Amino acid sequence: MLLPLLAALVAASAAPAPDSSKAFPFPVELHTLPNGLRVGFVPYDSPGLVAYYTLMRVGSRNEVEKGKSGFAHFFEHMMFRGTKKHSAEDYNKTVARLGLNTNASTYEDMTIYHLYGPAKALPTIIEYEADRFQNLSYDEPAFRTEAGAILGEYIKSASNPEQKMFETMSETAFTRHTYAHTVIGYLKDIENMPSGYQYSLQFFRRYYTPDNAVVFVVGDFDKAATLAQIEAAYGTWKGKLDAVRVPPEPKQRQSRRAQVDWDKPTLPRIWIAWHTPAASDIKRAAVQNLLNAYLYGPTSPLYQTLVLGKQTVDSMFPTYGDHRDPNLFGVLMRVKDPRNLHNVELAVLREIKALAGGTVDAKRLEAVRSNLRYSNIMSLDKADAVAESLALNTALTGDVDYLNKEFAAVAAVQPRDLQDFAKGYFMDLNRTTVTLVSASKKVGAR
Amino acid sequence: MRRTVWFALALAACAQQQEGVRKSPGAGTAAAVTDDAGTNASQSEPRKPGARETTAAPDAGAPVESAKAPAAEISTLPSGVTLVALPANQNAIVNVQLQFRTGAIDDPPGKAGLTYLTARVMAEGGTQALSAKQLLEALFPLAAELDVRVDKELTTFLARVHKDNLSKFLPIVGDVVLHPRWDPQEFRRLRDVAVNDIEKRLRQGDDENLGKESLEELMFRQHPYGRLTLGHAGDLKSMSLQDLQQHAARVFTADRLTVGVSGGYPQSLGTDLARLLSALPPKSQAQPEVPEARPHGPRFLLVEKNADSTAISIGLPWNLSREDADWPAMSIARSAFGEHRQFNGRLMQRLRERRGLNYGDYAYIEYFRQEGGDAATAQTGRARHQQQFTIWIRPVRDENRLFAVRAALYELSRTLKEEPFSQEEVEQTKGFLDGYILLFDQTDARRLGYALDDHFYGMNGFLGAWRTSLRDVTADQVNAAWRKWIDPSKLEIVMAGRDMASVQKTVLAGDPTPIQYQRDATGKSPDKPASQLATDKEIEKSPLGAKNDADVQVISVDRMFE
Repeated sequence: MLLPLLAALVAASAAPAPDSSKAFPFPVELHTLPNGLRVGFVPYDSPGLVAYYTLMRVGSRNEVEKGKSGFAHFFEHMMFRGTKKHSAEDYNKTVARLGLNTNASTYEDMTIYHLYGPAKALPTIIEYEADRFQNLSYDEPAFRTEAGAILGEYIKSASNPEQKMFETMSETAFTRHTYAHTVIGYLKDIENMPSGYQYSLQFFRRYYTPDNAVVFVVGDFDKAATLAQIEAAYGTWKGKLDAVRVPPEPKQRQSRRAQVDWDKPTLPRIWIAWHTPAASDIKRAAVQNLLNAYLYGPTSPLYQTLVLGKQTVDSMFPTYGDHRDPNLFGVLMRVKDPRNLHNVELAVLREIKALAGGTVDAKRLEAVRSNLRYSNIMSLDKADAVAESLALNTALTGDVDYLNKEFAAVAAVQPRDLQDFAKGYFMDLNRTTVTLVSASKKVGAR
Repeated sequence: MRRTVWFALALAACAQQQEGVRKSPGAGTAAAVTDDAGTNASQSEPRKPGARETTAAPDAGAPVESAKAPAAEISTLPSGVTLVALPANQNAIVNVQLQFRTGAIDDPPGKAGLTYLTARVMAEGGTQALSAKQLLEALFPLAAELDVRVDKELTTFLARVHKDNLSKFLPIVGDVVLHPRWDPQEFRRLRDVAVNDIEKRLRQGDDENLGKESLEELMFRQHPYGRLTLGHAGDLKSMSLQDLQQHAARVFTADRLTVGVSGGYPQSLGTDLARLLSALPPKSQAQPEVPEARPHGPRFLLVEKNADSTAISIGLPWNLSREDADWPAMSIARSAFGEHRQFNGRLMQRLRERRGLNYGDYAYIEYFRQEGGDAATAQTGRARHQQQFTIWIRPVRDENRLFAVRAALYELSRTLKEEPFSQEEVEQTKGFLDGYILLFDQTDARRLGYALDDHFYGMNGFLGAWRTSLRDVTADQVNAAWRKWIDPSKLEIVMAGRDMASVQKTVLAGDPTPIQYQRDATGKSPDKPASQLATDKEIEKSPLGAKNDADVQVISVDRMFE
């Protein structure tokens, strides 16, 4: 099995010095195969180790058909169920024998398959990965059994009130776009998954195509030999992306509220969010990343007043994350006493008003910028993390250089931009508020 | 941008997500504290030292794969402070870990959680120079990380910073330990957080950890490890700020401190820090001894709570350690039986992959807590003198909960009798561990963590030695060691979920508990091979091991950790 290549592939190639002026300081060598598959190489100083990531630009965002919530994630599980050439058992045994850490994750906008381990495994990784992405083959009983594992995945977190809150925020804020459901999906759809065998075959044909994929190899490997092998193994991958159109979310014209009544003792929560632009609007994506911490981070006035000062709030999380389509910007807080929910909400709204109508604390803005920069550099401390960052950021717009462009936009943001953003998006009619209270301690919704 | 997964359920991972609940928002870590469990240690005399090798011998013809595991330099200052320094390198990050020989075993009677809360107030509550608010403002622009991890015998302040920011960060790190602010307002806030963490999260909103922590308390009843490291709610409520201050003076002392440094640090960093911290109170009172923990029953602890599924943890205490001659063989058996978050173990294959019972099923031969949300490797800083064997069955639908327990016990029993680990399984697992262990210390922070764990155990280069030692282990040795250590009759079992009275009844009666496969909309369940259905029949009536009424205890969740 491809033994002659082995010696060449494990020959270490020197990693070039990182370019510290860039947010993603490692140069990416990008190749595009005739079938549209893109392959990105990053030499990284991890002697004898390599990270192999496959980004598929499909996620729960693509679950357009009714009753199919959670399917992209379910499908991710099916990708481990084998091919005619390599059964699931063969795949598992092979990745195990080679000492690889293997897994996959599904998000709203993407699914990422990853392997991380000894570089000497690279020829085998390429062979097995190229095979399953082209020739996945499983029978209906295997498909039905896997549905049980998905149900297990849902119930393992069912005791966490935030799973339900996330579901409620999604379905309240979104009326047409598929961000209206969570990645794991609705319980009723998960319970019905065993019936979806035919649909799964269609899903594979529509989305698992070379032009919808990017492979990243990061670590200690020989670029020329690896490219040659990838070209040979993946060159036969056929198909063109046949995505179902995701309905755009209409503009929200009135504020919305929902309340979750939780049947166990828990701290009340409030989540306030506004519809905001997608990652492709890179300037506004930069503003939102800054506003996350500027408004709700540990040095924000709101945090310092509510969490440290009055201590009415137990924890405060900014909830914005870059998305492919317009998503939400907001804050989720755990409040110690349900009687304070209303006051906490008013405090958040006052802060928004102050930003739109007042001044921006330029010094604090600089501190946030500095935090983003150093957090990012500090997160890229191993081959695996570098590959993950590349995959996550490439998924947003398809651009492997997205992170650098976004950080350049962050550097260019002026205090005025924060105010303009607040005026443009943080209006009452664009807002959705979800509260969660223990049923035993219910407070009247406004 | 760096994705701030503020809430893990925003994504669904295939083999597993993290255990535990992420508390801090991703962006800009400030003084955060890890919420975990925790021990003492008599000044850990080096017991049987492990192999002295620090770099694993590469395979013939293979590249040098663990070139990054250099030997730590260890020295002790006259103050009693020990310094563990990995050679400085050119990396951009600097790591400092201040590890004290103190943990939950130092909590006095009636004060469970005192060490944990004290450490939290030190890490988050400000210093004499900086209020809590100013501390956050100082750390935030640097994206400097300052956490504390409390375990049973160790408490570690974990500091990580970009070298650009080291000079601003270091004085703060020193002050956190030397000059905490002991601010009454922060004390009240952090005590509230700790109480809510027990009453609201652990008892009500985090069933997997409820199962694990309940098992810890069950296995170590009447032992110094036997109280939740986070504390007991009633004990925490009774604590005063003075209790914390007195405790800090008693346990955060120079003779208990090891300073660890790694990464791209300036040459004098370690000695400078060790000298600075020599200003700590010099001596502690003697640390409690950690006696041997023995299994004692009951067989079942059933935690009654309102839940939609049942969390299951199974285990027994033992004293198998990393230095033990059986460690290599046992590590192979453990991995072949139930590797954490991988698919190659028997438990994962047979409970999840064949039967779809739940999300994952794994086994451990020492205390294990996962590092972060996306890694499969263990946290460091949790070295202990007493250990445990555990099986983690992730939540199961109620109708299958006793089948799942039986399936795990059945599979374990088969490894000892009818179906010992085969030559093929052993060789495959050796291959797996040979590569996988390389991933354990891929950052300077983790290399430092392992160097400190080695120091605790009196070992040197554990990871490299472990990896090398696996190569000559035979299947016979694996099975012999496994049979020597594993006694299924001694296992203790925790189940947390609803209607535990009916579970108690079924367990005591020994009634069969057939598996219910998930059906589709038409009521059809998946086709299964006849051999599997026959095995299901055996499993459903296999013995659960409860001998009498006293062997099956039911407790309301409100009484746990009180």
